[in-house]
Amino acid sequence: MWLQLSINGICLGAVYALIAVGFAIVFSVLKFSNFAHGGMISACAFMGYFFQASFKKAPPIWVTILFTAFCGVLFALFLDQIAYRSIRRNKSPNIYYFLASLTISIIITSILNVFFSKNPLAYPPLFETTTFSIGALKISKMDTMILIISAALLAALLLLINKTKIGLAIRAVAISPETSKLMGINSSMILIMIFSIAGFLSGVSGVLLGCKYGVYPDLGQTMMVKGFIASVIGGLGSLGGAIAAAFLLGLLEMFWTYVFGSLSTPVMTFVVMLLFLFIRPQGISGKFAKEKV
Amino acid sequence: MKRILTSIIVLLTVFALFATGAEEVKTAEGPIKIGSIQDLSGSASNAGRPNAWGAEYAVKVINENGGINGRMIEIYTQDCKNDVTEGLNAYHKLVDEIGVCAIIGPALSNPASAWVELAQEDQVPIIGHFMDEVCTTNPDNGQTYKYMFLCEPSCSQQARDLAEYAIADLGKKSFAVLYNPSNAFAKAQADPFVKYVKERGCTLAASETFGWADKDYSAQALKIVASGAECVFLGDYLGQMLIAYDALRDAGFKGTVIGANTMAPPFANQVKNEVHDVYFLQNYDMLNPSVGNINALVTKHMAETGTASPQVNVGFGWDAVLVLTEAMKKAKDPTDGAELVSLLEQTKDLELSGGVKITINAQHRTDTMGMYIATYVDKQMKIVGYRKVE
Amino acid sequence: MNNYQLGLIMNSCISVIGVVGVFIITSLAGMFSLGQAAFMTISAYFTFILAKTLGLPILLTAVMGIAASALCAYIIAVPTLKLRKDYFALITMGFGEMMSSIVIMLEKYTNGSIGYSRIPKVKPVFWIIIGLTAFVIFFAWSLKRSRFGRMCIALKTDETAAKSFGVDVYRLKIRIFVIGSCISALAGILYGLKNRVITPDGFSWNLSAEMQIFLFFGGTNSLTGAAIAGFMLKLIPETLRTVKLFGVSLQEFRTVIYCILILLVINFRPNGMLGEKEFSIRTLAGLFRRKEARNGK
Repeated sequence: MWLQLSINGICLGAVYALIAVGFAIVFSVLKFSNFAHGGMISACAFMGYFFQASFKKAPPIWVTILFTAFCGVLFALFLDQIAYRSIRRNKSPNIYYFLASLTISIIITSILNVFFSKNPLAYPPLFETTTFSIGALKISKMDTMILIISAALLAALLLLINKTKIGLAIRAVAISPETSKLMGINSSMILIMIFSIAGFLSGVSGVLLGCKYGVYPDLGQTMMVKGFIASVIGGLGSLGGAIAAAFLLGLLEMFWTYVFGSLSTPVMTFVVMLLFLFIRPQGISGKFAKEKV
Repeated sequence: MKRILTSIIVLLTVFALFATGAEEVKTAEGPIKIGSIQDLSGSASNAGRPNAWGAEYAVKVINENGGINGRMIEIYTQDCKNDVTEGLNAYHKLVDEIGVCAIIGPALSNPASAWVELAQEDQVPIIGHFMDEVCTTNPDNGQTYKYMFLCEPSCSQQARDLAEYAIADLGKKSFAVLYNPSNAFAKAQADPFVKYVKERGCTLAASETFGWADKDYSAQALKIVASGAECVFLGDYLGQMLIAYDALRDAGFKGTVIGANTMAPPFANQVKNEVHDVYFLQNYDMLNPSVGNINALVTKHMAETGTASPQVNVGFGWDAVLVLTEAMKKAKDPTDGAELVSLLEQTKDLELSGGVKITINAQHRTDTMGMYIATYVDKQMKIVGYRKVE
Repeated sequence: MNNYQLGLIMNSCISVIGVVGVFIITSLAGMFSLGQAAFMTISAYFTFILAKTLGLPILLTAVMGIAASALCAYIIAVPTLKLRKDYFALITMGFGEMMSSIVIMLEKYTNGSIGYSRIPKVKPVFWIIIGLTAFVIFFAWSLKRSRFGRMCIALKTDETAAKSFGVDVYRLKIRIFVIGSCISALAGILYGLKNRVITPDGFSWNLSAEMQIFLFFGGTNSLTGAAIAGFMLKLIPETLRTVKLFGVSLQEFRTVIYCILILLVINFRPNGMLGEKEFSIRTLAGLFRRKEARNGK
């Protein structure tokens, strides 16, 4: 039983990790939690749905995912233009980004609600049977797919950030935008990169979450809180930390719910959060710089 | 920019305070104004909008047939967003500004529970499908709220009907519940269900819950499977029902799944697992054109609004207007709230859209209506029974 | 004025009180809380449940409710305010989530999601709310101008500098957070008095976020702006109920429209509607003078 729960917990963690990384990547450079991510996930779930529904025979899932990820990139850049550009130009404190992102998320959800709440939508099932068994263990095929895609994506992202020149530039801007400008890094290019990555991630998670949980306007917003918690515990802006925290959160929730029921889970999350931040205020990764004097 | 913005805001506020403030005087002649408060936006809008449509369509049909003794009805629909404050705003707007003489209520109980005493003070009867008993009876002293009327079996009646079917017809003995206690709709059915099952001497093997922010119910499902329950009651809106059903089947649950009327189509087409041994409540035999006019109603609603599946709430809106207008037709002054209430209390054997007759009892609810039990055969909804537990 | 308009004014006043609570925490001390609705929950449930079960007058239980909120605020503040600022937002948000699930868990007393209804009617509720709103605004205004308030603003502008001048930053922050939460708690009680039903959904984290948004809309450093924004932004969606555009009712779009308004202000008026300006006789006189000068030209 515990093995089964662990597997389910890891699968849940993979879902949280996808969202948390979307948060963390934006945080690493712009230093704010991008709550618009939740709204974008919902919007992408709808885009993906209508894309695959426009064909007589639904295209393979990876086509839908790629298409939606592409839409997600465009959408994220569009949002950046309408919501964040002036804030950047005004050099407002990053709390304004945060508020703008919150507002964007509410707008997307309400627009989807006005136009698409009439019919609940769902992606067609991807598999004939939903689970496969290894011995006594039953493993959901959907969860496995999400886990694999999520792992591949996160690994690719970590490689991109840690091993490539673009990654180096992103890290440089994350540490000090002014210095990196002096070093000749085009910071607006980096911002476009960051929002593209976040948009790509929201596109992929939109389709995957839509497949797993159904397509409805609140889809992303309800998951946002979990992503936020994971990304902050992980150590603001650290990708590795966010991933670790997301898996931890998934496992913890799974075990707690099994033993004590789901009602007290938010209480547990809160206490764990408090204890954790108390013991290790720098987050899991511990990489994050101290507040500057 | 600043000036434009400021002036927009000032204009809107002034508009709010004064322009809409024109007091409407109730006149003896002219159209009869009624209100309708529904969830046009927010999390329950996919139920609230068909409800609003049903009520508006009923008014249209009645007006085409000559109205209330020659007087036309005007219906004003307001959004309450399943929120207490919004519901109160909508209520006061209808009663104090538009001057309606009766209100068609929403299908959810949370906003309605804020109007129970106001309606009495303002003498505005509210007729609707707020199935929680606290909306019609004061639980402190057991007194009936004089101006609240429920037009469907109350939540505990519905839960008993379903439990009775599972015990007597399906022969189940051990039960489990999996529901969302943060959703008043689910909670109002799950509690009486558990109570009734225990009263009938059956065992409650597991009671599991989930919240709005939870998306994965596999831990709960595993526990239910381990508890050995034969039959699981699911309670929440459609989206969560889908996840719950799939979680149960994924965890290897082989038994029967029963649930609220939110399991109606498109449930069967949207779950990922095979649909078998599923039984759920239905207020109407929606697919049967020979009972009442419910089938014509839902078909018309689907054609007019482009909704893909028949919506039970269309019938709710229609029924509430029907009950109200029947009382109005008998009234000397159809805009007099007190007179309407005494006539509404006498509602007897009035045939509603589902072909069932309603009689309002002393608790301002009804004992004469039962619930249909439906199942899926090859993903098509099929009615298999009709239960009415005394 | 009819009950509808009175109701709208009461809603707006409650919103003003809530925003003033947030103003004290955010504008005076630079802390960003995402869980003020939780303190509204605590005080509202505490007040009305105690009043009913113990038969005490609401005035007395309201004081107890606010005290309970203050205690919770203190307990959270002690460990959290030592941490980075970003964590404060997270912890307060987690606290808000926790409170709504606790209300559901204690359904024996709170009635869970069905809501705690049948709150007794208090007669001049309109004047109570108006009076308390005025009081809260006056309180915040004098707080801002007091020595305590100036210390807070020093802390917000430059924490290290404030420290070096001998300000006990940590204790000051705790105190400010407790005061702000007490004001939020008051808003919660008034919400209950006005609506006579309280539900956990009514105090969701959307409400906490909304209060922060209102504050920044009005101007982070302007109490006048915060109060005006709290009042107006609560009203605007209601005005859209009856507005029709090209024959389409804007009723369902009211959230969207007012969010767009907020986005415009955040983008194009980075200091909020009023920026740093405060209402006073002098600024009013200044306005007139400027107008005269313009006319004189």
